[in-house]
Amino acid sequence: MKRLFFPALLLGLAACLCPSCETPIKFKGEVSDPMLVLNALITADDSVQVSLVESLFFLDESYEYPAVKDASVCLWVNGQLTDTLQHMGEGQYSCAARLAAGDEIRLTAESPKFAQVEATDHMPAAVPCTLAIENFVVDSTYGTAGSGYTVIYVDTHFQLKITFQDPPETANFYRLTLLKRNFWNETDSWQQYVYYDLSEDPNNSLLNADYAFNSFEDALLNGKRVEIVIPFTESAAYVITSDTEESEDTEPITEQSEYIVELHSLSEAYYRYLSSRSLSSDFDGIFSEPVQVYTNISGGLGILGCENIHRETIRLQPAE
Amino acid sequence: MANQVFIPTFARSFRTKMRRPIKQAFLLACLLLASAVRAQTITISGYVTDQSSGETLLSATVFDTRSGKGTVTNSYGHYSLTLPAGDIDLTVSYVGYESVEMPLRLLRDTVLSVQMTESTRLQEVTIVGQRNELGVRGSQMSAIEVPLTQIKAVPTLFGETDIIKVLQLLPGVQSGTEGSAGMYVRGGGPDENLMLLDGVPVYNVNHLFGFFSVFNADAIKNVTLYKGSFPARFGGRLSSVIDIRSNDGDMYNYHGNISVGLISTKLNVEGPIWKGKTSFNVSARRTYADLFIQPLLMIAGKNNDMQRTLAGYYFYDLNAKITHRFSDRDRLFLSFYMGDDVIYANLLTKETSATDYSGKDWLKTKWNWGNLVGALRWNHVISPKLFMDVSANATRYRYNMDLGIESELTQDGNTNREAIGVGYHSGIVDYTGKVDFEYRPNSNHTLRFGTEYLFHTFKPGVQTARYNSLADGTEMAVDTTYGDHNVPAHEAAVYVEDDMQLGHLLKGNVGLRYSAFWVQGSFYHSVQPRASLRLLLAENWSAKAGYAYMTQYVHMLSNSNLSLPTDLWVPVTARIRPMNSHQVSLGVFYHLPKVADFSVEGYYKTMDNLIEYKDGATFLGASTGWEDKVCMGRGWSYGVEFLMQRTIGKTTGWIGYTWSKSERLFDRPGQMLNFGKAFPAKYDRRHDISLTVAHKFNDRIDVAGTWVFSSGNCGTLGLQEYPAAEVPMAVGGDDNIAYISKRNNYRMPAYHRLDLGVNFHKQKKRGIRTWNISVYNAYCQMNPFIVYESYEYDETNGAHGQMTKLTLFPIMPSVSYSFKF
Repeated sequence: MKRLFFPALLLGLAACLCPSCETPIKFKGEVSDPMLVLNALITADDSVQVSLVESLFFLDESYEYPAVKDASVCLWVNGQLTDTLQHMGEGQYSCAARLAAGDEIRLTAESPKFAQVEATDHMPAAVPCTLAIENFVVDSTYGTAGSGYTVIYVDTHFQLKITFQDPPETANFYRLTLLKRNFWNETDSWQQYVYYDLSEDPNNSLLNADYAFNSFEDALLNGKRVEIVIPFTESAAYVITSDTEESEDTEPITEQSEYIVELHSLSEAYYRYLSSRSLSSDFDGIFSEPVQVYTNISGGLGILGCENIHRETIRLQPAE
Repeated sequence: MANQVFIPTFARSFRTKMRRPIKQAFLLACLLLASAVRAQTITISGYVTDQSSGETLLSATVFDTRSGKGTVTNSYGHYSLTLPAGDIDLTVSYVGYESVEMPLRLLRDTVLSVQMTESTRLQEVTIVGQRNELGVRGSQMSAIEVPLTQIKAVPTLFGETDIIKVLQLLPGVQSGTEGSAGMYVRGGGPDENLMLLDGVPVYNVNHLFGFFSVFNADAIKNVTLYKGSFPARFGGRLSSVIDIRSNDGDMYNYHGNISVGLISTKLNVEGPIWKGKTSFNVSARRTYADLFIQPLLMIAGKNNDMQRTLAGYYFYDLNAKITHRFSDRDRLFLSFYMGDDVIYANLLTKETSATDYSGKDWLKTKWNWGNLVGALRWNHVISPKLFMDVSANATRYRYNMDLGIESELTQDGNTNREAIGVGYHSGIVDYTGKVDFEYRPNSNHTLRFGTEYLFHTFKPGVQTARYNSLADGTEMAVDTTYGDHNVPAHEAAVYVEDDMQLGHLLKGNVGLRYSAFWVQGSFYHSVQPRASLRLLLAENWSAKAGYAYMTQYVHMLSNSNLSLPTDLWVPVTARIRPMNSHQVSLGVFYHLPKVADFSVEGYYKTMDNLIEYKDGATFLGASTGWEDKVCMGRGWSYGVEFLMQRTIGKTTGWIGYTWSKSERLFDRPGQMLNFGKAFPAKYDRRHDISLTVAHKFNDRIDVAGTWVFSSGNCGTLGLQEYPAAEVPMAVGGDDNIAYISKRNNYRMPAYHRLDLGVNFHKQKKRGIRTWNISVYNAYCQMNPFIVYESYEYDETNGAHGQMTKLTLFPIMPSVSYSFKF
């Protein structure tokens, strides 16, 4: 029996070596009630749109945020009650008031279920910029495709140069967006958002822009003349002749395009909201630090942000 | 054993009748002479050693019961005691040893080395005079010495004796996640602990992602933890100093110990090279899970047409020390430590078709990380009152990762080959020169002073990439190396401290340390005052107060909960300034004779220039741009610690309780965290209790148990979710936002655990064999390692969210066998 003791013990111990396990636990932290969420990103000279919903406790079973349809939403400009927003449905509120640079904007919202929430922000002044095309180079190469088709590959290289003077006396916050409009003819066009990641461009590293929204602050640029150079290459391939049959695509190249650059001047709250959201979207589980998304809604959640946009357009001539 | 030294009596006759002025002058001279005679002192000095092995005994008490004066041996077992000439009753005592008592008549300076015999009795041994610097009568506070016998008795995970895990059971010290070797001392971070092995810093003390520490208990002689009130001889970290001294080795006999456990085998051998003069001590440890897994992998590989399947993980340690005694005045030590963790894989797959086609694919990877420490030390007794320690040390931590993939395809007589390899190499290397002096002019003063110089080379990370291909007769090869350059840095320090007795009631240790750091054109320096004071309230009662200002010039970059090998040490920079801390502590100490020592300490610590990762920062070893990922702020912590420690008798152990709070504030412009408001530190825990008991029934059986309880770890949870505002023309940004009220706003469930162990010893013909059976987490408490949000679906409730905990270690029994010869 004694001889069997240790082998039996070893076997018993080995059997007890159970693997790690997962078990559900009851949440004993701070269980919070739903909070009123007010989202309003206001653009100068545009109507005021406000969204009101209820937040959800993170362990809630619901996936839809309940819209708050019975709230009283007021807009105060420079300390004066300017408008009461109308409910347009599904928690969306709106008013026709137009806001200008320098306005102090205050929004209040309350409903039978929620106490009043409020937020204040200031409409920044737009910062003018200039736009130019530089280093325009067209590379054309001929090739064949399939049995005897001749193809012209056209690579158009150019740089968009955006220049602006950062106002030195204030802290300024910006966002840069690009649009491209293609004209099929003089009247028909279509427009698309062009994504260019400033955060990955070493030439624009001083901007320290976030990757999701291309927003940046003037911490390293204060009072300077800022030049942002964005390289583009547009490639196209045209089948122009065929040895054996007529090409279906031998129309002359008439497509023209223009680039629209928008330099958004953001309020600080808007900028902090965007930069923290950009970080939040990059969250990488346990190997990342958690991100607190900025909110300036007192008594609730969400954001009141203001922006003023300067827009410049430049047309790109088609390659001949 | 008495060493009688006779002093010849000095007498001189003189005239009794003199003129008044002459008489006055004469009386003055007599007074001076009398003073001189009173001041005529004799110094006895020497080493205190174990009689059977010659091993020096650290912190042994040497005490004259007649005058009430005494001292303790230093870190090398040397003492020096200056007493008035004449008769003394010298008593030398040390825990676990028979006290040595000798009446002496002191006539001249004497070298007296004392050999002590290990106590065979189990009854208590009283430390005569309680001169121990950490006890009631010592001036040092916020320090704990844990006898190695107690360390070895504590039951641990997989039965692996672990010094760091035992230190985590002491008040004021908290572990990180379960099983981790990370230490958080009095609200400090894991990189704020100075781990010294024979006086040499060890940068990464973790094996197996922190579940085991690198210190092999078989090689260790003494462990002292300082949590505050740091003596000026220590510096370079904010929160703690762990001073670990290794065994010198038996000077007279050969001994050994072999231990086989569930995950590792250990071997320790020691003995004389030159009897009585030179000794060696070698300890080695290696895990062997990879050896067991290998046959299984081969079977699995063959089922998948793999020709070669070598893969696994192991770690090993090797400690070696040679001690040579030239004379009573000179000793030389050469110590060495090497340890590595290795993950390896070598997989080969062959594929051959019936036609003229064959292909091979190799995967070769090797990750290894570990420390290499070497120290050459010379102890020289310059005079009975002056002891010198000179050392030249080197320490290196390095992390290497190499991954290679090769493929070969042969078809129709043509062979195409392709090989891709990537590597990552980082680490830190220090070379240190150090001179320390200990001067004991009399029994009331122990002056320590010295200087050190460190040459650091930070290796923040170099990546290599190579590509070779042979395709259709065309060869192509690319081999490139990129990454950050090595960063050299210089660090120097000088210090002086005086451990002084100010009358019977007051004792103090006052010191000053000056340190300087040069790196990449930046120069930082710091003057660091240190002080501690003891007021004897009664024979066995004392109150102590301490203050320490500390500066730290290095940071460890790591943001995971595990101790990953990619944790990277970086120096301060022009932007990232040195961390510093002020700590004050107050305490009351009580010694209950033959029972235990009690202490209650309170502390308040402020820390400045702490670094934390910014919101969203990800760090996995790449050092590039690390300054942009962190921000600087400050923190403070305070708490009360209670300790009852019993180190003598059949039943030993301690009860520790800590109430503490630790917070951080990052509110500098551009470096804000938590919107500039204070938040709890990552390992802020309100309550921490540990109870450790070991009982020796007889020479054949002893048992031990540990129970720990602590408040749960902090974590950050988004408690509410809400929709993001729609931003036109954006590519990213979540649709839903988690509302985080503040950093570390959620506390995991409380942690508690009971570990039990029993040792069965038996005297065999050639030695003593011991079976150890231990159970980690005996009542199988499902403690959370991490807690996360998950979603479940069931018929009744549909989809619903819940919190889920991952338990890493439920009940974990283990058994080990050891044989001491």
